[in-house]
Amino acid sequence: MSSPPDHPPEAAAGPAARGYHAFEDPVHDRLLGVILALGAEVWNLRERLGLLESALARQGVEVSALIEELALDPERAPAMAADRDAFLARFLRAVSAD
Amino acid sequence: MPELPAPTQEQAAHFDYLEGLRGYNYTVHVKGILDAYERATTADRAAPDTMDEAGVIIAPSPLYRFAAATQHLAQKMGWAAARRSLEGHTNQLADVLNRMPAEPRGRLVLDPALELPEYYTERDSEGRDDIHLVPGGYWGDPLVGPVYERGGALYRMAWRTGYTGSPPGALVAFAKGAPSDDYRRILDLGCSFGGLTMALRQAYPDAEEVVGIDISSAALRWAHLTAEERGLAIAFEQRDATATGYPDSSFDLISGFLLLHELSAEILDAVMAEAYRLLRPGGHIRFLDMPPYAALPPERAFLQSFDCEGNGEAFWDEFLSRDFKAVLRACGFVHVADGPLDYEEPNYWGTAALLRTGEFRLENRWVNQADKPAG
Repeated sequence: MSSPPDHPPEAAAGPAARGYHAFEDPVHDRLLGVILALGAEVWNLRERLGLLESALARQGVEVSALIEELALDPERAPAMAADRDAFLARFLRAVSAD
Repeated sequence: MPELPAPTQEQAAHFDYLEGLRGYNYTVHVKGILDAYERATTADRAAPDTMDEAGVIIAPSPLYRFAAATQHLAQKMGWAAARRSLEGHTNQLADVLNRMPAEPRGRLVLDPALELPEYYTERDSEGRDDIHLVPGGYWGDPLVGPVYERGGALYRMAWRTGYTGSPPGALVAFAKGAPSDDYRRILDLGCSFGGLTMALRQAYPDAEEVVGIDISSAALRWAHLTAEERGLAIAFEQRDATATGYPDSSFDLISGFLLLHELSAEILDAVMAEAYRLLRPGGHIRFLDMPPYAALPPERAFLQSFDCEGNGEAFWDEFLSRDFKAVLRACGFVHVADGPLDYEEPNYWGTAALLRTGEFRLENRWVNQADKPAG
């Protein structure tokens, strides 16, 4: 078990405690910042994948229908489920660590 | 304006995301805050009389906290994204910034000896956010012009179409709304990137001279380049609006856009006294800024106050709580008047962050005007 911090909470909060914070605990502002930044990355990936499909289609390579088909392919289902479970385990490790 | 380097797909996606995030925050969250407020006050049958009382209802709500935090974070992300999209092009941009027109129509006069006031440069040392959350403010970064051009358009929900590509219609309408059609010398105080200065030049093509002054050399440089590219003859000069150095009665119209709320009461008083000195007898002053809190319903005044802490607007509350018309009268101005700018623009989102709901509101642009007695 770690010992309690020997500095006051406002110092522990670090840079987010400087300037504006909307929530009583500035850590919540920082967490929201992480979520919004992740949102930006997710949107970029979604857009880029959409563009990739469009670019391939322009080159005569139609992949969109094939992607839909593969998503429901029963033969791929076990591998996809395993990938998903591994992803969730990594993603939620901080929550389930105890 | 000088052409900016095109963003990459990833940068464009980031801008789109931030624009969408803000739009959602305004049209869903801020609108939701106002709807909840209306329900609460209708149910209680005791609508608050003051913005502080309205704040007691609004501020604790999770939706307000979330909307405020999102706005603040999106603003920081926007400036960072704008800066990042230009950082790979610093040499190219340096060339643009240093390439002065061979035969300029106007002029750029910088004063390296001008001492910048502490209130303008020392935010961070006080633990306050930089003005508008622009890292380093508007004065230290030579790229501040391009960063503002891109980040400012993003703030105005128009990053793909740009904002200052031509003077916005509202600024031209404001410029043309001055009492006379015939001005000889016009001064734009705190002109920053020259948006209003260019609108004034277009509104009064026969004026002998249109001058924009600011204390930021980087902003003036960008304003000059933009004006020259548009073929507008404007003098941009680095001067402090509290002590310009111009002779008495030098101008017959003095104007300003989004300047007043950036000044402390002490500095504002000094700027207005200087404006009075600079105006010829019978001349006019005219400013476009935010509506005072007293002109808004209490709940909207409270939401407007967010920018003070949430957007690095150090003097926002002080100015918007003040009786600016009394300030003008104390300086000696007459025919002092104020009110919303008479310019309908349904797609205008507003300037104050949490006054934005996606619905056009005329009072979001506020005009103050007065005359110097004819003598």
